[in-house]
Amino acid sequence: MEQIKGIIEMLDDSHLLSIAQAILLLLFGYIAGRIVSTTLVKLIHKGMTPHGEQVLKRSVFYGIFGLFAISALKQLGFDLSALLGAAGIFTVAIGFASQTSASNLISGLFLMIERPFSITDVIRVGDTTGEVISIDLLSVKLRTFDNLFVRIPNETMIKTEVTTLTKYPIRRADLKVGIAYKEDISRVKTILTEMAKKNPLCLEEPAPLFIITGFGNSSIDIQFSVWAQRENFLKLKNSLYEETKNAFDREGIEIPFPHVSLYAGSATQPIPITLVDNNPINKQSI
Amino acid sequence: MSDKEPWWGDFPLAEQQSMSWSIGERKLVIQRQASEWNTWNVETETENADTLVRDVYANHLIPDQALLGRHLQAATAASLRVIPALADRSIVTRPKIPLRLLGGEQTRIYVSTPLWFKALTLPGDLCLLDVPFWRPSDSWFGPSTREGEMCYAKYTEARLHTELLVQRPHRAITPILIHNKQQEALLIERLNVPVPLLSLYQDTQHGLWTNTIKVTREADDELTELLLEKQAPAEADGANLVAGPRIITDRHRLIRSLGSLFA
Repeated sequence: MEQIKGIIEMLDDSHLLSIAQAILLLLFGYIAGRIVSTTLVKLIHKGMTPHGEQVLKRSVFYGIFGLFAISALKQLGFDLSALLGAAGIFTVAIGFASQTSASNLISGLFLMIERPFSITDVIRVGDTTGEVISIDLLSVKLRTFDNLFVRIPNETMIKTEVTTLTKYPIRRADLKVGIAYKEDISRVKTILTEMAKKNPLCLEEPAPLFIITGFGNSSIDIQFSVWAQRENFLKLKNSLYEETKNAFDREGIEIPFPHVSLYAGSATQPIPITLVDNNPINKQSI
Repeated sequence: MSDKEPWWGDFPLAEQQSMSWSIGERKLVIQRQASEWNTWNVETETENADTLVRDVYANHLIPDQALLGRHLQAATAASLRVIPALADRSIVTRPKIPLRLLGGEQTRIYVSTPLWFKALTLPGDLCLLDVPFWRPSDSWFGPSTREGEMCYAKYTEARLHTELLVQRPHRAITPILIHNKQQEALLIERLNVPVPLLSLYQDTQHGLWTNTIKVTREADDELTELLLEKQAPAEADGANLVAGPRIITDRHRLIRSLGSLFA
């Protein structure tokens, strides 16, 4: 009996009991947070976007876990009001020490409020294009189309230009085509327009655009812009390039490659050409 | 198949037997095997005006390519149901020359829209095939490139008289009654026909019709009332229902802004 009393007193003195209780509380908070947030999302996931689901899940989890963490601290005997006061000073100190993380954190909050894109959207940041797989407090994670995982800090997302490719249901594909100077532009326009009309993936409206972008070094440069449903964008672009080449071959329209004209000094005298036959047998016969 | 027979209905099909539906070079073939259905889809680029021929197809003639699908089923039944269906999106029709409906007038125009070929198993009505005879071109209908809906596009003659209409087996005709109650003329450059909401009826000649759409432009505001009639149009003699709408809605009276119907 004396021994047990002794052990309890020792535990009391060393705060082991309250530490154990605090750990238990944290553990319980973690598990409860996980279970409640997952169940809640499962219950009301209908009609919610993946982005919304993630935000809900996280806020419920951190809410519950935070409450348990506070009670765990209380269990350890911390005075919370003093702690909050200290937190102010801490924040300044931590802010200076971890400027980047803090700026990422705040950028993350702004991103969540502004919502320029959400999970499953395809975005382009700088040279990286990929599907958004998560939007976190510090960074946005992308899966690129060659299946790489890219982490982009939120600060970068706020500072640089971000293009959301999946915002609107239709997209325009710009086909760049060059034709030789001798070709009839109106005929080329008719051929391209007919080709677009025949392709069912190419939208009838908005109508395709035929723009002459200028006189290039070796070709008349044309931009033929067609509209497609977002999902068919790449398919249409590829098929139209292929069809353009086929149609031009069929109609005898030249797609020129860069060429250089050589002039021999004074005006238009042709460059003299001498045929040399290196075959000794031929030489003998001559 | 004689001209008097429709191309849709329930057809008996023995094991290893194939049946085809063809319009010129355009061909759809369905073959029944003990535990699978095979479907072939031979497409052509341009629509032709040939008659639709349904026939038992010799297996050795089946093309190597164009196998569209293999549909597995524990045991296939001895018959197959084929029905025509309207497009799965709205169709934007464009008269070759824009029409102007003068103030206070009403008119009835006829628009023909392309049909889909739908094959279902019996019993159970499980879908084996749901393909258009000729896929219409995609199009966008809306006030801007940000707002609107994906549609199919089609040019129309917008006929005003039934005598001028040519019934084709792969097309259905929709009568549209437009009433302009305002004093100003109504310019119709494009017309959005919500075909997924319409039913298909056949007349005694096996021509296909949809229920009439009544569009009324109210006198006082820019809103347009769209009413889908519940019965077959008066032009279809002795009509009976062939297929219900793709999207079933209880509302037959729809209010739309003018921009979402005409443009």
